[in-house]
Amino acid sequence: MRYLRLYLTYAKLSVMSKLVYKANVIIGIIAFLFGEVASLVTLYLLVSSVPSIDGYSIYEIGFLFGLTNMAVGIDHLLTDRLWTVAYFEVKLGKMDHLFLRPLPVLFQVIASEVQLEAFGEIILAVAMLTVCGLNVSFIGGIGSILLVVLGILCAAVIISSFKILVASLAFKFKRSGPLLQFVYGFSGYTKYPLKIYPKIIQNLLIFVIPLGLCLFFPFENLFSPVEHPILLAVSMLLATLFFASVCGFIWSRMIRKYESTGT
Amino acid sequence: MSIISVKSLSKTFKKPLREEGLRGMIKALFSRKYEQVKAVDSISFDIDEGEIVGYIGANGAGKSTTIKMMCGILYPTSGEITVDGMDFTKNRRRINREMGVVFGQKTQLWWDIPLIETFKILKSIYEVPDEEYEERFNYLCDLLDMRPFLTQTVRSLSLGQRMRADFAAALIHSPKIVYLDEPTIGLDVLVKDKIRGAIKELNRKYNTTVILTTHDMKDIEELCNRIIIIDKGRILYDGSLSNIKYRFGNTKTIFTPSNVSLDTAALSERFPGVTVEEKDERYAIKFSQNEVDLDDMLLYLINTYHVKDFKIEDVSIEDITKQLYEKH
Repeated sequence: MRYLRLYLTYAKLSVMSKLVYKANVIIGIIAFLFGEVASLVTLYLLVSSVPSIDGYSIYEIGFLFGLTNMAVGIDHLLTDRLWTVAYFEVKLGKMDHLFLRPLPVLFQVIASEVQLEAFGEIILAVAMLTVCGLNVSFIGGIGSILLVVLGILCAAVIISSFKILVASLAFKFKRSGPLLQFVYGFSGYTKYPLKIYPKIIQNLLIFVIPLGLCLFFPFENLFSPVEHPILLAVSMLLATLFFASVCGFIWSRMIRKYESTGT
Repeated sequence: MSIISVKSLSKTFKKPLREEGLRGMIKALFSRKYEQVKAVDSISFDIDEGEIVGYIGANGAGKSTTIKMMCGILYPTSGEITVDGMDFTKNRRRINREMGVVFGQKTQLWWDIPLIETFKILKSIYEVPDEEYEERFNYLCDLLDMRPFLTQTVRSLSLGQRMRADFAAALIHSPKIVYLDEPTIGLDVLVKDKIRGAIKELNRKYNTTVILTTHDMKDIEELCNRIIIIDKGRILYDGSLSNIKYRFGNTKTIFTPSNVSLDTAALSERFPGVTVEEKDERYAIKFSQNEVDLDDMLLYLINTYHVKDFKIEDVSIEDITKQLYEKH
């Protein structure tokens, strides 16, 4: 409860700091919205010429695109400072003050930045889920929808955890931004049905970085419900928890290597 | 009673071995050769509650590295830091509650928002009760004269205002220990005096333990009853300021105007060991109090040369550290 209260206080200050530069925020949101729309148009041009991809209609693919975008948008909204940690903060010794407060360093990194630009992705995700959702015929009931919501939240945690893991390498190598840029691209894989990928990528996205498990399986469940949805929910939760714990553990070891800079 | 105990503390940085220039940088990409740079080399000391300790050394001597390990920023390569009986590496967050830190060259304040907001969030972080916060906040505002700029954003503050605010932010939770790393760097005389006055007052009123690193020897001479001198990661001296001054001859310098026509040969004969320099239209008469009595010297100057205008200076800590470095 204390951490929730503190998070809200930190978040309030972050939004206040952002709103000092109003034009910057508005340009940021519009830029992200346009970027995502451009990627969507490319996808539309690709798939509109064919009636379906691997049996999925354009609206079904659009719905999956929306699910991934929502998870990416939530991660972007809540953990954006990890990018500056990976690119600059460790290298320039800008994190000293985070080690001086009686709070976990990771909590402060996450809580101190609410990235309003992420609303570009979230707005698009809501639009996609609404438009495409109205044009596909779901079989599953309310339980399936809840499973999808759980999947989005788990996927957001997995993306954030992966970012934490890669950003923490900066404590050892001073800069891990380019690597973070590269691996962040993985989240784009779940914008398309898992089945279109080679087996090795499928397994990677189910067992190693369980993004596919948390986004694609609940998505599939909307059309052909699984026999034990609870089992799927538990698997998603456990996989997310395990992945997040491993990443958190690596972060906690890596921060010991922080070297600051000379004064 | 000791509040901080440092035992055999070391910090080694691993640096890749590089030759000069672009070629050297490219070769280093494929090389696995590293050198171990020992920034702090097995140092030990204890600090008692309520002490004001000056931790001094040249640039690169290892003082900031020690302070950064003592306040949790750097993880020691080996050795132990115990604060209030707790092992630092295992109780960082608990110990952080009892600590306040000011870095003269890095701010801890929220940059884009009014200063007052920083204090509010610090209140939540350190869970300071309302009543205690109000009292402490008002006390610090008055002590450091902060009220005129409380509603200004931090980025619009002058360096002097920002340092006073940083100092107050480090103290708002009534820490038992305060680390000050170059707290007066770049400040004008008035702000320096204000900060020094605040340190003295806090130490007197709340028995706050202060560990101070600085290049401004006036900070040390005005505030510290104990100094630790460090060079190349090792402690050269740990003890009282008066003791080291005595060890280094307890030197005094008397300055007189050069229009008194001082007979330096007669002076040297009367007081062996005295040196006289003429510079900037004044004599600097330097002698060890272990050998020459100050009263005798003053009486001689007044009676023989009718000196009416003079200035007496103690050996400066700068001279002492210089001599210590040269000895090692």
